[in-house]
Amino acid sequence: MPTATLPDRRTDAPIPVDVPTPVVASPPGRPVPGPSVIDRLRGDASRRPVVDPGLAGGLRAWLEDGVAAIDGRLGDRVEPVVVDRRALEPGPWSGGGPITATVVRGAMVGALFGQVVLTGQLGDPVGDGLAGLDARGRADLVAFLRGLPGAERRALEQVVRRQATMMATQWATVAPGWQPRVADRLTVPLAGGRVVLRGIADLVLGTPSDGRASICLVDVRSGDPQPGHRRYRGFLALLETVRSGAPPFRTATYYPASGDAQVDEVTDDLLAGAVDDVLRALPAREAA
Amino acid sequence: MSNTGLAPTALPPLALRRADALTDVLTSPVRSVTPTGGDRRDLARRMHSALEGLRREQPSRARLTVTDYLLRAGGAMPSGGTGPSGRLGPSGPFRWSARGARRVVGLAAARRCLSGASRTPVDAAGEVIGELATEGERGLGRPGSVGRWLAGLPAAGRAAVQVEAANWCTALSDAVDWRRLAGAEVGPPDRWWEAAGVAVRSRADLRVPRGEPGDRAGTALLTVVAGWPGTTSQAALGLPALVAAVDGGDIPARVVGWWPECGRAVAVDVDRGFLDVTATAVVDTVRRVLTGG
Repeated sequence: MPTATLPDRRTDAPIPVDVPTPVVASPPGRPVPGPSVIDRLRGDASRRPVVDPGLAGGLRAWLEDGVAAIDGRLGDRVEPVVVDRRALEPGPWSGGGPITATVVRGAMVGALFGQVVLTGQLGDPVGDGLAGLDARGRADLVAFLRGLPGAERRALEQVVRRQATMMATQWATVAPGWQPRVADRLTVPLAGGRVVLRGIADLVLGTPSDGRASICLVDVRSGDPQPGHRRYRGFLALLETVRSGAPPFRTATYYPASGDAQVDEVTDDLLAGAVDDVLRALPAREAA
Repeated sequence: MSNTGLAPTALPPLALRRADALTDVLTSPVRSVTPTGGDRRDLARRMHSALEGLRREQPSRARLTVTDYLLRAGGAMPSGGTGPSGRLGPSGPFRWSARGARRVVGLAAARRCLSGASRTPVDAAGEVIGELATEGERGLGRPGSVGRWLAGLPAAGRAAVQVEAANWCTALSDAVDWRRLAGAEVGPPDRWWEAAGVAVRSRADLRVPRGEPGDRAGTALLTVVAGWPGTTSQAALGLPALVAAVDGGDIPARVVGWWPECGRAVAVDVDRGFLDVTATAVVDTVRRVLTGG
């Protein structure tokens, strides 16, 4: 069997210079002028923070302490208490609840985002989006779209086409050497698995840390910016920190409707806020 | 049973050092006692007896397949009952999906990366999908194979498979330091053992020959697992050792589970006690499936 060393995947692309860019509104269907979204996310590798080796363990201990406060009330529960996107920003969500046009739009845009990032190619966005959902086993979403009344369906397809075009313009240049992982699942079990924090990062860019923060997380939203989106990208940063032992250097929400991205540097304060959000959400999830 | 499970706080803080830690676990000395020939015969006899007893109590002509997945689920099946071809297992016809195909494509992609044929997991997954689809288009492979399925998918469907397989391949590639695992075999063949209409399937994603002198040289196995480790995880990890033990194969010295979603690992040294625990879990799972409990 082959036993050769994996090729070095870190050196095949130049690292763009970090130029802070204000978030500005862009004309519909056209990207924001200035440095590309990818450039803004990656920044300057030499300026990425050094990892505090005690940070992840400290965050986990903080979470475990918070969970311990409710652990006694969990009793003989078979299913774990799950804290996920639904807990942090209640609303339409493709992982549960009724299927709506918003859910289908989000799922199609998510599928198209993965396709664009990994292959750099896009055919007919609606056909591609439906094929992507079908291959993911989401025949229910495909059927929902096909069952929509004509005008409603056309409106949804138009939105998907516009957002897909924006993504193809902005994301088709992700080099495989940046090790993109699309729809990466992040999980942190606590209290022996009785409480589980769970999230999906639509895109993870970067190789494992070698002492500096090396990962950037992206959450893609097909709708307009909402206050809960910042909470969720902080939550994803927390999960990645505890999972891997090293915090990401940035966490972002990308809006293909406008081509904008809201980007946060991952700081101790952001991670502490995410722990607070989780602990605040726990009682409601426990009761669910 | 010697449990060397890696608690999260025991893991080194940085991801690269974690790869070192997992590699250490796969290559470090094993302290448990090798099961003897008598142990193996006794285990096989007891497994036969227990499974035949269950078949007498719950007569069924359906063949039951016990996998690590079924063991982790504690015998719970999505819809219960008899599946296609009269087999007990998840009901309804099997359908490929991007997630269902990620391991088979991901393993082939990892082999391509290690051989230098592909530069990255993303490239490798795309190339493997292309090759499998071409084979499928030419009618190669059995009906229902992943190649035939991929051949029928449009480009966007194949991209969905590439997403899942590239993630899987990356999780395996980043888990260990390959320079220290000379001779490691990616995706060794599955092994089967059957008794009383119950087929036990063992699988592992990485087989590492160990250079340790003495009778515990053997191998270490690594399995990539979705989700997070639970109470049934250790027994599920033991299936390859159990199948090897009762079927006269080479018993691995150590089995390691790797949960990339949560960054946790569990390692167990294989001894008679661990084989007993796994055998008991298999029998209990079969009982639950047959009785619907």
